[in-house]
Amino acid sequence: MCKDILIRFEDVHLTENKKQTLGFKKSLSKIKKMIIKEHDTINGLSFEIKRGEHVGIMTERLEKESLNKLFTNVIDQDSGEIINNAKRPIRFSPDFKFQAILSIIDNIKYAGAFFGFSIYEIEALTSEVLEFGGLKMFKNTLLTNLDQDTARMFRHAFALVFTGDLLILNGAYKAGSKEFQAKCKRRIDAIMANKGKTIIVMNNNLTYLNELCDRVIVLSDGKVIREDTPENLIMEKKEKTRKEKEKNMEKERSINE
Amino acid sequence: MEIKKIKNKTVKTVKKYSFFRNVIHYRHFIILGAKAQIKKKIVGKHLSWLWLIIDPLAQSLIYGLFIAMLLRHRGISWGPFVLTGILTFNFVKSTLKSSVQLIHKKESLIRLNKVPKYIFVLELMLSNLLEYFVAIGILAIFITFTPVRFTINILFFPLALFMLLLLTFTFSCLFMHIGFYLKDFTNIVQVAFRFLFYGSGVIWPVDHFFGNVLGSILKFGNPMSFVIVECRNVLYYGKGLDLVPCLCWFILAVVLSGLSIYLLEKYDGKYMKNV
Repeated sequence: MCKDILIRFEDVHLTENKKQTLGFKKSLSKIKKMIIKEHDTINGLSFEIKRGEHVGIMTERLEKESLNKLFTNVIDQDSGEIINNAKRPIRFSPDFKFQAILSIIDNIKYAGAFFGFSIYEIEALTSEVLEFGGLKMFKNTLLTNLDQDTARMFRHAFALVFTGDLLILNGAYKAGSKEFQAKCKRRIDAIMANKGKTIIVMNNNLTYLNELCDRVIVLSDGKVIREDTPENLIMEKKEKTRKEKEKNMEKERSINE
Repeated sequence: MEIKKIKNKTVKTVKKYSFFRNVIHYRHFIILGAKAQIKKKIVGKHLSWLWLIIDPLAQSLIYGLFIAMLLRHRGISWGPFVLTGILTFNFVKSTLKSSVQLIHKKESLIRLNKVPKYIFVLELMLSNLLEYFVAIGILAIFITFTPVRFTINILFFPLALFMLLLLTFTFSCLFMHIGFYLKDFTNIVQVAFRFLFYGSGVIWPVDHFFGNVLGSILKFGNPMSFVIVECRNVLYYGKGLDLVPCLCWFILAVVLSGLSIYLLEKYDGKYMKNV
């Protein structure tokens, strides 16, 4: 495994504004101050991820969204330092808003260009997407004319083929038939076997993280509270639940006595 | 490599691309996005792309007929005269009005990847420009049936078009930035365009009701009437461009577009905090 640092966060703080509908007066004050109501989502976060690592992050929903934006450079932090050496950080995005009115081929070009792939890369990867999703016969069909399952398979095929040097997995990567789900799993394994690729899995399911990651970072209130291997965390959790059970049983026994 | 240090620390941000490099980099996104937008406008309609022609043609015939009756101006073919104005006005209006809420509209895309926001303006402009070209083709055919004749000065049309695009791009970027923070700006722009429709000589010569001095100020001081007058000079009157106002607007537009690009780049990381 390559040991150089891909991402480093050092005492990063980030506040995000709450979505709200404002009245006329508040709108005017918003122009003056620019910011009305904000809440801390990242609060003194420090960690580093090395190139080729498979890291799991356990976090809350709001932090998760902010972290995603920070990893993909979509948002600037308020304070602290971020070093991001990822050339093409890509968030696995089966929810990407494809153009319903364009054909599959045009959609691949459109989304590929959006994620910063060159036309040569797009051309090379197009056939792979079509093959992976079993979409060869639909390549000139408009996305709007595809049935829901096929469209979902196309989205997943695109997201799993167009990957950069950093892949951020957010949720389930399974769609369509069982065969296709197995195909997706195999693809993820193949990506993980590629040593140049770094994978960040954002999930709170430890068993799932144990399957995919070497290390897990646990966040709470925008800070790192724990960093360990998934096995250790699972053991700890089991131990904790065992102790709790024992405690409860003791309590029950004392009540009975 | 991108290093971002904020607050009491050295700021060292390496910008990977300049404006032109970004445009080249995202060219396929712009072209395919524009194609999708045009397709969206015509899909499911029986006359499909014919509406791109029928709409401005009908609009100019209606206005042309009324204005011809109202003004009874000598030696003017009102049809092509009004059509030139309406096509240019429609292009500017649809681009500027849509760009006000553009960042909010593209929120789902912006969430996933860092894309310079002016790329979305260019995508919007390209789709409107394609419509404009279709309609200009119709205008050329229309003009052959009128006493108006094309002259060698039609070669200035690309220059007039360049001025139109530059000014539209500049104001679109500015409107996009303002519209992001102020939602009421959509309504303000709507009201402003209603005024501009009658105040910029879209359907009549802007200096018709005023004297030479006030007419010239209205003609060249308002960017909307300026581009309409220049397009009309080249396509309709067979004249060249007015070089002095052209140069002034060019310098102003370059400065303003630089400023608007700077604004969009500066606030790029902050937009997502507010959506």
